[in-house]
Amino acid sequence: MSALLELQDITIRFGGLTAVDEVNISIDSGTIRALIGPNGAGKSTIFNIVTGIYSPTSGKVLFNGEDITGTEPYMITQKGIARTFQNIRLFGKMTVLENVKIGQHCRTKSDFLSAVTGIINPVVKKEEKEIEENSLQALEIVELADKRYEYAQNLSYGEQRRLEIARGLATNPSLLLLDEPAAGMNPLEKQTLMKMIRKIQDMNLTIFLVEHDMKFVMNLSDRIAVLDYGRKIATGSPEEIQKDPDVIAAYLGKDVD
Amino acid sequence: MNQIFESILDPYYMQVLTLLGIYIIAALGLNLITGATGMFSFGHAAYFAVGAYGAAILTVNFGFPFYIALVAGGLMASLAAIIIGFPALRLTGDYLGIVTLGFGEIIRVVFLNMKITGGAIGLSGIAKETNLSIVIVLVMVTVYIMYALDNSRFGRALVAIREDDIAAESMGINVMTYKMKAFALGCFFAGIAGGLYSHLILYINPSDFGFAKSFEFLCFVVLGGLGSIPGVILGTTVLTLAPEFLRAVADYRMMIYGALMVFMMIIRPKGLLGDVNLHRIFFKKKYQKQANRSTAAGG
Repeated sequence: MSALLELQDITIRFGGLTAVDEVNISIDSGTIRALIGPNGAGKSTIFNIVTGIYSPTSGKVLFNGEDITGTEPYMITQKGIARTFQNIRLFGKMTVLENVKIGQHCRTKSDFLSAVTGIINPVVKKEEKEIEENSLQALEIVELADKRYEYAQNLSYGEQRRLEIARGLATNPSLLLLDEPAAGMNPLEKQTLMKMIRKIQDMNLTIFLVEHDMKFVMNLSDRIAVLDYGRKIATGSPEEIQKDPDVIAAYLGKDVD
Repeated sequence: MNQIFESILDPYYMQVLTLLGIYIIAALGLNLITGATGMFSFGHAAYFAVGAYGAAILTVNFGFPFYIALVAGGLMASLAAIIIGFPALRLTGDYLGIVTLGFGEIIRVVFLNMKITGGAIGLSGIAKETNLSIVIVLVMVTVYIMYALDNSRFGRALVAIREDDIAAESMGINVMTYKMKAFALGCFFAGIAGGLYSHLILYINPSDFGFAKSFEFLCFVVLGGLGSIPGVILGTTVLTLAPEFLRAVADYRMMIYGALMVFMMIIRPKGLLGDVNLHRIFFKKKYQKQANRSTAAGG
């Protein structure tokens, strides 16, 4: 297996604050990787660097061996990285189906001139049909197909999180970044979500997730990286991480003596 | 076709209805910018003016045929929008509103000081080319285009940008390009409407296209319902016809007009038809019917 995503010595400073400090992470294709750490450790910042919202102060992001550091976010999505947001960012006044169709945007072409000829233009019609089919497929995966004509803002919290995943899937990514996918879900919803993520992994996708729920992370991930104050303090399998003294110290505090 | 209208309507109502059609075209253009894409533009009258002057100068000074001048006026308005959009569209929200207001005033002042536009004296001697039937056809074409855009990949991208530009960018939409396209396209319709206007009124003057006019366009859109095509048409109709029908109460006309606006915003804060999305209602009904049928067949 080759590394799909590689972060090399990523550092980012906001003024005097070093939010992420020389972090190296390498994610193998087809695996589920978790990134954990206390609040403010820099997890979401790393996601924002990978997706191009922030440019790192130094270091490189390699995707499929290609340097994508500092590329515009929409270009990065076209290259095959999709994401969800920690504080859900759906298009509230669009329907569930339209939200997912937006995900298909970067895989399709028609523009305003072709939109106007849409009624008679077979190319546009065919494309629109494909968009619809692909979007419905993504909705089936997260079990929201029967809510397709609801407004996104009217969905429950857990459903909104799943819709974000479907929208990300609709961009046909090879890497899916999930920022706290289980936040605010009840145990039953978390169970379903875990199954969905497994299903997505089976579709040949690589998953990189940030999550606070330890049970969720330990059950799901192949490997875990731990951040504390912007530094990576450990990497390993769930078992190794649970025993790691640095990780325990970061989460529970150190003994005085 | 226009003879039929002339035989049943008196010239005054013809004029009012033609003007209404022109305003609907301009308001639908603004709706694409403010309603669909969520960019506040307080300078729409400026692009209306570019179209009005552009088309009028072409027909009066250069003898262009009306229709070519009309399209050229629209394209000039688009060009102005693109030039202004480059710096302006990097801003969002209230800041964008203020900048578009500023640029709108700049365009008006430029017209006030140019020789070819006749300066403060204005431009006269324009031939009457616009009539009700032409405007009706163009309104229908505009409504069709707006509906087609609404349900296309292009239109969805615009709405996504309005709802959340960071998420839209993360979904692979080039936000800046799409904002520019929406702005240029919306101003194109303003330009077309402007060209129709100058060939209806036959005399134009920079003071016709001041901030008050921009604000009027914005009222049409907001009061009708941001982003709703039937809403914008209804809003424009109500606000254009109300002052005409209120002529009976002479002195109190504008007071009642103002009160009407306040009242409408209180009872329908999202605009008259702000929440109505015909397309969605239609598809939801159709889908539910299908779902019911399949469960009935299954059970």
